[in-house]
Amino acid sequence: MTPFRFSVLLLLVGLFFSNPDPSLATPPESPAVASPPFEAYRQFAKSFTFSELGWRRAVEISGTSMDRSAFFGFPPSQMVEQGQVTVRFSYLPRKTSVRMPRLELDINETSLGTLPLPLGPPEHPTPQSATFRIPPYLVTTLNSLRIRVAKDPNHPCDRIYTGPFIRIDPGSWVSLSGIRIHFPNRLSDLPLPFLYHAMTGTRTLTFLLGHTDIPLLEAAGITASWIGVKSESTPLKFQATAGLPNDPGSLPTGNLILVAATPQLPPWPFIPPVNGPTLALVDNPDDPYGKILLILGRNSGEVRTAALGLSLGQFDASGSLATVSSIILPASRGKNEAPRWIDTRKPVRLDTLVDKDRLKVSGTGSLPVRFSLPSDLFVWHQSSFPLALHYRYATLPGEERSRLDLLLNKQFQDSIPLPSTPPGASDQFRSIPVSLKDLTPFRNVLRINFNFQSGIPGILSCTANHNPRLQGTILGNSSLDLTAIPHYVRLPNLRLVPNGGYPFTRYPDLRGTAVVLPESPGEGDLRIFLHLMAFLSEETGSPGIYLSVTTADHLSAFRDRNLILIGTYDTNPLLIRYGKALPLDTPESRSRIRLESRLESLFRWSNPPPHAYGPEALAAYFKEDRNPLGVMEEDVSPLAPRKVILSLGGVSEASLLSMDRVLFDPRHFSDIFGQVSVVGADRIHSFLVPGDRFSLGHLPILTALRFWFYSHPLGTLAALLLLSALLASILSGILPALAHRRQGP
Amino acid sequence: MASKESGSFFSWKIVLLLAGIPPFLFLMTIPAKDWTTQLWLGGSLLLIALLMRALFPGRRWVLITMIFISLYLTGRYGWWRATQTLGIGDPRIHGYEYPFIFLLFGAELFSWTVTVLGYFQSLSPLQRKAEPLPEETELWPHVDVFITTYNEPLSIVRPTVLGALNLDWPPEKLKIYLLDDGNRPAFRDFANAAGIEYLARPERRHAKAGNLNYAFSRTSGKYIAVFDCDHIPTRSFLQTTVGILEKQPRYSFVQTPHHFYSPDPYERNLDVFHEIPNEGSLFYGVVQDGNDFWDATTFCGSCAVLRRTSLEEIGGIAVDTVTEDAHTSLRLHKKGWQSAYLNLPQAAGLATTTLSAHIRQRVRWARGMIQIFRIDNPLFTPGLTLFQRLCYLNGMMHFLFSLPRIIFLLAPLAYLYFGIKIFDADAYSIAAYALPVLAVALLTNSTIQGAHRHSFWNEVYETTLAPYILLPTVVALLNPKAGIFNVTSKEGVIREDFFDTRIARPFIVFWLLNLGGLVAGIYRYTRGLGEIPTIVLTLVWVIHNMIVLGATLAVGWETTQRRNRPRIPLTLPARIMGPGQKILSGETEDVSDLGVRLRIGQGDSLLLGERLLLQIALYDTVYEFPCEVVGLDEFSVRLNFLPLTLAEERNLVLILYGRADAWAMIRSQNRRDRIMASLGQIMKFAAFGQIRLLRALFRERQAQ
Repeated sequence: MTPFRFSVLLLLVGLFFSNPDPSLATPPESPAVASPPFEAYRQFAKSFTFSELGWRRAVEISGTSMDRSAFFGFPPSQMVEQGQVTVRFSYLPRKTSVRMPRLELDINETSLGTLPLPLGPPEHPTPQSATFRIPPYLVTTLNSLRIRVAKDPNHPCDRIYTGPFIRIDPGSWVSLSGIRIHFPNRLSDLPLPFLYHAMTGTRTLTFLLGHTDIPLLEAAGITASWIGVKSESTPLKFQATAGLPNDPGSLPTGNLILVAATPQLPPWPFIPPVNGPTLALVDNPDDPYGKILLILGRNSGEVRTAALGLSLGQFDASGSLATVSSIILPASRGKNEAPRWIDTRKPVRLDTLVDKDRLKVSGTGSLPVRFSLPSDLFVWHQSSFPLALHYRYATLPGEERSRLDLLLNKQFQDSIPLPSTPPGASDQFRSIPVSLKDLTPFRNVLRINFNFQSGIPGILSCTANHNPRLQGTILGNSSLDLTAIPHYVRLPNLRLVPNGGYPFTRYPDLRGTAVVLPESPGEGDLRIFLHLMAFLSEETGSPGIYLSVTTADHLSAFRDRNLILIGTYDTNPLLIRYGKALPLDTPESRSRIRLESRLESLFRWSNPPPHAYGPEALAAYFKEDRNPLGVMEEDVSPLAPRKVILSLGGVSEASLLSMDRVLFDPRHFSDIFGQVSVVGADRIHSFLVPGDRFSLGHLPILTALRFWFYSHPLGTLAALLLLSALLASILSGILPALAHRRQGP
Repeated sequence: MASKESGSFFSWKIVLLLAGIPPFLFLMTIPAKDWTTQLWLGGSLLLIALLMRALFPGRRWVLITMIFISLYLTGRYGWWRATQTLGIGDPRIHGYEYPFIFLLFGAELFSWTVTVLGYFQSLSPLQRKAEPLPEETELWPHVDVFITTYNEPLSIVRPTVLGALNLDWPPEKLKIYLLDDGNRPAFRDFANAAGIEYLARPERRHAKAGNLNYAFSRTSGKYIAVFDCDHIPTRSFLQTTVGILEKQPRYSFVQTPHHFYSPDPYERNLDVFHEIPNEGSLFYGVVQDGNDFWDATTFCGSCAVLRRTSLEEIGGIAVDTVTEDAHTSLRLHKKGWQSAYLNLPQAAGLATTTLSAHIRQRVRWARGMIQIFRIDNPLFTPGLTLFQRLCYLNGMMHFLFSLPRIIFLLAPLAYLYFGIKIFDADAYSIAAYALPVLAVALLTNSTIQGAHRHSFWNEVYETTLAPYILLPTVVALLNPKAGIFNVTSKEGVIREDFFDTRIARPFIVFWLLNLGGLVAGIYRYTRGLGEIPTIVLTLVWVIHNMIVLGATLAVGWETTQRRNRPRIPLTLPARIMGPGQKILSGETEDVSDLGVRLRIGQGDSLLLGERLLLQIALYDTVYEFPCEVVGLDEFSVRLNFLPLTLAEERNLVLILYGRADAWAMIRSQNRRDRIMASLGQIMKFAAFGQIRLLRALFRERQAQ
């Protein structure tokens, strides 16, 4: 660091350094839009709270806690000029006088400072906050904000308080502002500027549709699914309007996706000539820093081809304009062959799930291995699957306390001792049974923690920050073996929709799925449709190139597919015809929910649902005069064997807009199960409703029998009684004859 | 041809039977979705069992179906307990809790095994009939009768010897031996007077077994009838039993039940003589008959006839254990000899008088059976059929009940006192699984054992013995050679009611511990210390324990036994002739060794102290006895016998104990089991026992 830059830094620190005044501790308002029309768009200002960065609740930190990190990103088109982080925290009351640890705040490994000491007496410390300036040059496209326990540099060997001593409020926030940079229009940058996966916060995607005919809707759906493939779990929000304004000045600002055929296009100056399926990236006339992705054609069919070209990458990306000449559709993907799902036909190597570089630690550390499973794995009453773990490590000589801990979805699995090894790499191997109970239907995290003990006596270890000789590596040939688990599901089951999009994603290119939209879909219908398409493809990693959209009148061509009905009872008649016509308000609709009869509950033909989630609970729910936004339900399709109909019905067009927000919020995913999910304003209630079921997949005969008897207690009882009666009658026949024989002639 | 046909008939039925077992076991392993489903399944099976029993009483197929239902529920519970509730790999279970979990599981495993073996054993009681002997008595075989005695008083041995003299058998083919290990001159004189042989050993090695073997080597009859000195045979004993051996040359012995005409300590102390079946009734009424079906009748040391050649083959009575009788039959079976059990009481004896004597006797049996288990383990010893192995195994395993019983008495306390988990499951599931198992087992056993063992009494019997049997069985398991032999005392007079605190001490301790558990449980409940369902479940368990212990305590209260000789109810035509030739006719009400009560019209014409001649008619013979009037009332007169001659005494024995049907009727008088009534009865005794205990403890403190 040159003396000049150092002095500048000092100056900046002097100007902006923290002011621990609680009165300042409120998130700043976004700056008012300045008056010059375009200059206003040049500036940007953002703030996000820690909870938006993933700290769902307050974090308590103790003297022995590991570092806590939060990540935030920026697209390269934005340059940060100012930034600050405000930490709201409170010290916990304590009774001991042992020295408290210090908390250091880092951004990208560079320290921003230490949290100030507590205000008030140790028994009743008051909440406080501290603001730290973030030097703009430290902010990159992906940033880590870290809070760590630090030793007092003056007293490194003092004994410190090891219990929890401070609570960090998730309402702490980072605020940044700067300018936007104009980029040239290059198709090769896609999905930029629409997506940048390191970017923090929800991405809003605005679709403008020229019309709502079927090929155009399919084009929009395919485009949304392309976004889903690219998004990699970025929270998304869709906006969609059908019909285009004549005045280009009334277009929304920001980045837009325009899907339209030339006859529908107003005479806008920025539209390039269209000579077939066309993809183009142009500046937003209302916002020079916004872009419009044009998906165009001379007719709706060509638009659909253009969208296919986009999602398959079959276009010339060298400039800002491309004509999609011909599409080569890839061979259809087989069952469960989604790119993002584990192929359970063979053991899965860990290096296919995680980059090799991320399977190493230096010192104590945690290696997460994230993987998605096909939703139809049948884990009922099985105990475990094997994890073949190949690993290598270096620890200190004579240090025997180090361990390797394994957790699946935060559930402890096993702990392997890491005794001290002779120098030189030696591969170790362990086969570890991992509990199937801890597996979730879709997303899973296997965490491998290397827990090294330093072995240095306390008095010395306090001066040594870390020991480079402690190394751990998981070798890439380690593997998860799920081959023994059969693929078998009972449907309908809404739980599988948020967990993998099953059964629609069973063929990941949506070959077996058709979406039924209202005759003229409104914004709510379109939002849910696009969001769902993006969601399904995000789950599979494969664009839905075989997606079919239809309306109630043209259903017959898609009878043999799994159907997704979207709309309201007014706009989509199929919702009434194939659904349960919820909420219950007519005797007819009431009859569609099969309330469990007395006879059924007495005889338990099959295992009844838990009372709180049964059909009675559903009926009671609606009797209590609740006003849901809408209902999601899954039913057996009456049109074809072993197909489902998923209904997404809003109470009104307006409520569909809010339903979209609730339904795709991952926090609510665990509330979706059974056959009916009632979507409320801020939560989802799900119910298990008796009715027809079917199964997909196959089970080994013994497992199938066990599962059948498990599901049908009356069957168990009947089989047992028959068998007992049979055995008893045989024995009753044999015994007297034997007795006769015993007594002799 | 016919036998071939029946062979194939059997084989396909047996193939079908065996084929049915895997699906049966498979169904056991089907998990229940939740406890309500399990309760539904168990409750339905219980209901079906109840219905079947009510609609088709006494049918064999109903009983067997009930057994299958019980096996299913037990197996299902066992599978669930073994796979889901032992807490293996459950981080919520502490290391120190595993021993408790596994102890309870082991105790349950034991009781399931005994239940299953018990069903098997009593699946099809044979109920064998006596076989006729040839018309011509010249063809009847020679029989030696051995009466063994060691230290019993002559008054006990006399009726037995006289009863043997009364046996209906050609005198020239019947030799009666009094085997006196006590070597007492009075006995020798009595033997001479009665005209029987007297044998006394120079030494006393191997106790009763040695005594029998000594006589065995000095006699020569084709069959040997063996009686303990207090088991008085009826006159028909040999005629009913020997026929079976004559007909079946490969039969080694015929065992008959040990019938007791005096109350056992339970019957006497609780005053339920003839109200509940005798403690031994289950063994002789069901188990032995069941054993006989599998050709596994156990020789019980008395009231049996043995074939000399078969005993010769195994070198006489077994001497290695303290239960030489059971061991002898095991050895005979190993050599391929068969056996028979004739469920017809053809002899009767005195039950043990006091609880302590009863316990001593059972301790000996338990030790002996465990010794056999070690020396000649029925599972591994060569020569037995599978079924014989299982029957013997159950006979021996039964005596290991003490540790499991004590575990059941103490297990809930671990939770109530210390909060230690004794199973890794919620209380609802445990109840949903266990209650149907218990209920159906109760129902099935009540159906099987009905007249021979009333519900819940088993627990009282086992609890009484558990603390005393534990050490001897464990010692015998570890070292079968250790320990000594003691003779069961049969005669006794209890002059005054007393609470045998020495015997009752362990039960008082258990009871107080459970009382503490009750208090701790109520404390936990009110303070919410622990899960309420678990607390309630363990509390119910503790209350159950206290009921059983209460009833056991009631048995420990020894009640007066005023009569030296039990009176036997007996109705025979009788008349009395006084000195003035006045003749009064009536009938006997009860008779004992000492006197008789007559139901008679004009008793007022008699005087106290008047000497009379009593005539009792039995079949076509009239027997006369000199008597003295000792009691009078409006309807009856009480007479005591004047000193009788040996011949008169022999006649009295014949009338009292020697009638062929003397005991057959009494056994059929037993009431059948009614489960709830039996529970009520036990609870009544429990209340009685606990109140008496509290009073005794209070009085003791006052005395101090």
